[in-house]
Amino acid sequence: MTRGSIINLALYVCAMTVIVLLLGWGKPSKVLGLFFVSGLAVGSLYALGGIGLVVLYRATGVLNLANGAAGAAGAMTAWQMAQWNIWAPFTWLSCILVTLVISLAYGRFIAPRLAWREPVVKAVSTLGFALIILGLVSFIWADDPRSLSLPTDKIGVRILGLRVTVTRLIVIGTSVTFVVGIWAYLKYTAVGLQMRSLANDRNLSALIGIPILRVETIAWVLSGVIAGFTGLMFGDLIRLEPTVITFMVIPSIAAAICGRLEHLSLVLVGGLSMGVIESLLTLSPLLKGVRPVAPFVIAALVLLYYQRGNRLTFGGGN
Amino acid sequence: MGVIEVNARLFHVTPSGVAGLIFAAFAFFIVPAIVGSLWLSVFTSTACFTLAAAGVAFMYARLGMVSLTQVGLMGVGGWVMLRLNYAFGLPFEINLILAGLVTMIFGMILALPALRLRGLYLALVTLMAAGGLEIIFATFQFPNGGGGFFGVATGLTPSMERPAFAISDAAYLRYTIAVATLGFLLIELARRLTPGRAWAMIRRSEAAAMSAGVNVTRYKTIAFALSGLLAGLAGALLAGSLGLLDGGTFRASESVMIFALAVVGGARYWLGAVIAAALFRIMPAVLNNWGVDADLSYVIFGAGLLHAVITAPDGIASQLLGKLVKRIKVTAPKIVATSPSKANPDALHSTVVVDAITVQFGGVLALEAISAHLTHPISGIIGPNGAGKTTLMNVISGFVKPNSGNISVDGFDLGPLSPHQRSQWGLRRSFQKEEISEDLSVTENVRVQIDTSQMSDANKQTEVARALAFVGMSENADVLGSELNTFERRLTDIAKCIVGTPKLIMFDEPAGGLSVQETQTLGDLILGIHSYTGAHVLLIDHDVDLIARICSETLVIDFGRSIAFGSSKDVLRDPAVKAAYLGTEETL
Amino acid sequence: MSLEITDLSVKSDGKEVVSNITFTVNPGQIIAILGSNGAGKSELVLGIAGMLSASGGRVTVDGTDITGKSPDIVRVAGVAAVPEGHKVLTQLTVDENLRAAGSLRWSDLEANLLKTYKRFPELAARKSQLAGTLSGGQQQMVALAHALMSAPEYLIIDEMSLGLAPLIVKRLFGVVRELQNQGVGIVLIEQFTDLALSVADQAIVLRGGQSQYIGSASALLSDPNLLDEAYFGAGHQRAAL
Repeated sequence: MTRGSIINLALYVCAMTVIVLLLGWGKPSKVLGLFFVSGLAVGSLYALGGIGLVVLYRATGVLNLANGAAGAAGAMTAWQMAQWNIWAPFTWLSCILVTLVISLAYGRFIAPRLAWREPVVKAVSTLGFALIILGLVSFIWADDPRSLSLPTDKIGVRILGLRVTVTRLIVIGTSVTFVVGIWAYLKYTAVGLQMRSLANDRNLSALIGIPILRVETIAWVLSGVIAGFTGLMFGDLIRLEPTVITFMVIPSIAAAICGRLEHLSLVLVGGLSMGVIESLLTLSPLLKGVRPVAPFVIAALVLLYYQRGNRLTFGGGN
Repeated sequence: MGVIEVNARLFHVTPSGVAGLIFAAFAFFIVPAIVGSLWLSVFTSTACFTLAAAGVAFMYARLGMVSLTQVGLMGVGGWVMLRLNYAFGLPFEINLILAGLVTMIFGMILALPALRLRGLYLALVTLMAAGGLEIIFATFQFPNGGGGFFGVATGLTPSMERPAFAISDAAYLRYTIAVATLGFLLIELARRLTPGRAWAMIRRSEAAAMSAGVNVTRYKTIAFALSGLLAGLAGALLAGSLGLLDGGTFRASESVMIFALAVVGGARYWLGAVIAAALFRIMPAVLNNWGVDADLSYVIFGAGLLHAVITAPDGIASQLLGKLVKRIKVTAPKIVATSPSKANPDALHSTVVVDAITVQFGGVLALEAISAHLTHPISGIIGPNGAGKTTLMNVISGFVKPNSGNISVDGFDLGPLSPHQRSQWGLRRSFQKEEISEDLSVTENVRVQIDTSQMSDANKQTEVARALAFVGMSENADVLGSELNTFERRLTDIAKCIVGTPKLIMFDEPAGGLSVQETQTLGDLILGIHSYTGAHVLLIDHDVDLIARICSETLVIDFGRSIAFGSSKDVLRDPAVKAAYLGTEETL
Repeated sequence: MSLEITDLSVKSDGKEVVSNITFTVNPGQIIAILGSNGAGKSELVLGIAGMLSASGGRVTVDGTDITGKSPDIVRVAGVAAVPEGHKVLTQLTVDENLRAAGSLRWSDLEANLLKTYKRFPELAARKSQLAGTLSGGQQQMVALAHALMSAPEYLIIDEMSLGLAPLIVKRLFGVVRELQNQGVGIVLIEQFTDLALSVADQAIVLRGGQSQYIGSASALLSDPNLLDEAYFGAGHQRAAL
């Protein structure tokens, strides 16, 4: 590790420790622990969502603001199927499938038509798509309080004196596994190499014979599957409401930015930290209201920290 | 000529502008009369958002900067307006101006991160600011007349003071439209003056802007200030219309929405902002009126957005107004047969001293103790690709700080000057890729270079005209950069280099992409530049014939080291130079 | 069995930059394409490779029409173009660069990798080095290796020697000769005429996107006036160096 990254790591650990101590001051450790774990679970979903966004962005140049909406559609489908008493594992599968199909539809039919436009326009386009999905989903499933529950919600495990639901364990475990898996996929497989090649230099990749369309499609599939999983889990852990799940793309973007849209490990750390801090903010009566912006603030501070000393970014910061 | 010509140019109304004024007149006189009372509020709100959308649109179109805080800033303006209204008995106009100014300051604070970030990251930071404002508005309600500093009171009927002659809803709508029109005119005025030219150069390339003497920091801040001012006015007007504001109106998502709509509507056109606001406020009201389910209206909205993005690359407005844009035909440049076929080495000129310049990038030694006393009026620098020629130019320009060594001209050390300061001092640079803004006309492109000089406006105009005449582009003075071909862009670039009082002009591979004939003409021009400006000329190129013809002394660089320096004739005959660079000695 | 360019015209940015070029490359043959800056040489290469759109004419490889096809299909068909500027995938290692380029001939990847490393031992010694940190000459080797990983029948190389030290240029031209002997048909685009003409069989001179001369390379070498005229047009006096 370079000297710079050691300093960054040290700074990070100090900052997190200080924040956790500050927010948890005077609260019983058990409460602190519960909120911490809860934050870790949500944070791992932010991180995973961020990873999905990064993989897609690097391979295609599209920052998919519709990821959350697609996930919401999947989650609502799962709920609906549960209402029809369909076998539970199949409902989860259908959630991922629906999200995947929606993402792929955009990726195959709409994204290519904007391939040569600038990133802002591509992002605005996904915004339009997100509205369509959100509108349809909200229309089909009228505004009613619903909940999505998984059988593992009720089972708890004792870790370090804390009762942690298995769902949370699964979420943290799966997210971290996914992240490591994707990192390994990119590093060790041929397709992963092709994706990294595309992200490095699209034109050169085309010239040396990499099948651009095929690689991009795989990226859309990957990001779609991730969005489906996170959508389902957000529905379980936070709230099964289309709007809420749709907006979960925002902390995912914040996590992606922590990793500068490139370094998966930093996205993971960023997402987890955001989740934890956001969760612990609930404990503070004063800072409670800051919860919604917490992911942004963290991402913005991280960004400004990275850019310190750069008066001008020569084509950087994109 | 002179002052009168300035005004004529400044207040020239384009066809698109005529359409805009007609539209404004129509909106002002006719709309309030025909629209039902229920809709007056919707239209007033639309006019307010048009003003705000214009503020966000020009930042994106002219500078390429994405700001996702506009509606939040409207909230700030509205807040100030409400507070002032209920606290003091000042007239509406004063409150309006104060609200605008306070928001303008908020906008300038936003400019601070803009100096360090760009693109997506900048968008994120502005979004964060919008989120922050959303929290504040949610936590502290808008002041509606209660006591205390915050002035919040529940259950009070708001009594909002309106301008003396615009009390009725219809009259207030007219008032709002008038202010909005003024806002548009303000943007256009800025665009036609120095800020507009600076913005166009910044959008093209910040490096090129600095090389042209533009203080990038200042003009980015001005853009944010203007955008904030318009948002503040818009929010204040909205407060005046509704009497009381709600935090829900100024959520962060609304800021994102208005930006997206501005892009879809067409950020370059006034009509685009109108379309954006109409989609934002009128369409939902219409759909609601027709009993369309709120969720379905999202679908329609989203579908419309998607369709517009795909089919109208420059926005919906471009498809409607695009035909109004007059394209001035380009005339072939007429270059007057210039003067000397060879530069007179005894003519008065400056001495450029490159003193032991060393540059190290990470572990790579890009330049190693390069030294040369350039005394002839036109000096050449040649060397293979990657030899370090452009790095040396970057050092002279001020973009790269050398690890050791310095550059001085006639004894004046350039070291402490920043790139745009060096440009103002008299350093001119023509980049490998000619940095001509496509948004500006030829005249405006050249004018940027002397915008910061102390000359009177009339003198500046004369200077620009002279420079254009020298390069033969006088007939194309009003042609937009986007219409020019490579050669014409290069000529405009040269005009930019010679305008005013340059002291050192550097050309970095100016013949790239030019035909043989054009390269010949280019060479003639460069030969004449010394007598035109008295400046020292530095030419970097691959074309050995060009260098041999024009430069009386040449520096040869290879692998970061100087391998030869002296009179061009001797240098180019040196077998070492031939072997390393020309390859003519190579046999296999 | 040849690469046939027939009446090819290429458009770039709406302008026609290459007009009606015709030539044939046979296996084991080297053709030099010469011309000054802006003559259209690079655009011709990009047009054949599928990176720029062909506005007219045909490109066929051993009978198969590849005009206007996407770059990866052109490579699979056996035509590998190496653009100028020794472009490499800077954030990938040398080994990853080669594997990425070899992914289109999946089954022969390991074999091609071995062959390429044998040809460029300098690269074999730097397998895990980031391509962006290599010297210009080494990057040019990687760029050539990219092409060789696709086991091409025809190789088109744009400005291979630009910016490189004479020693390295000699090395690379050695590789070109080797490939020629192995039956690869090669097109060399060069600004430095002597170098290219000394290895080529045939030569084409471009000016303003059109071919001004097409014939034997040795004829051009022996008559400098012929070359001058083709390069600069009749009546041009080359500056005395």
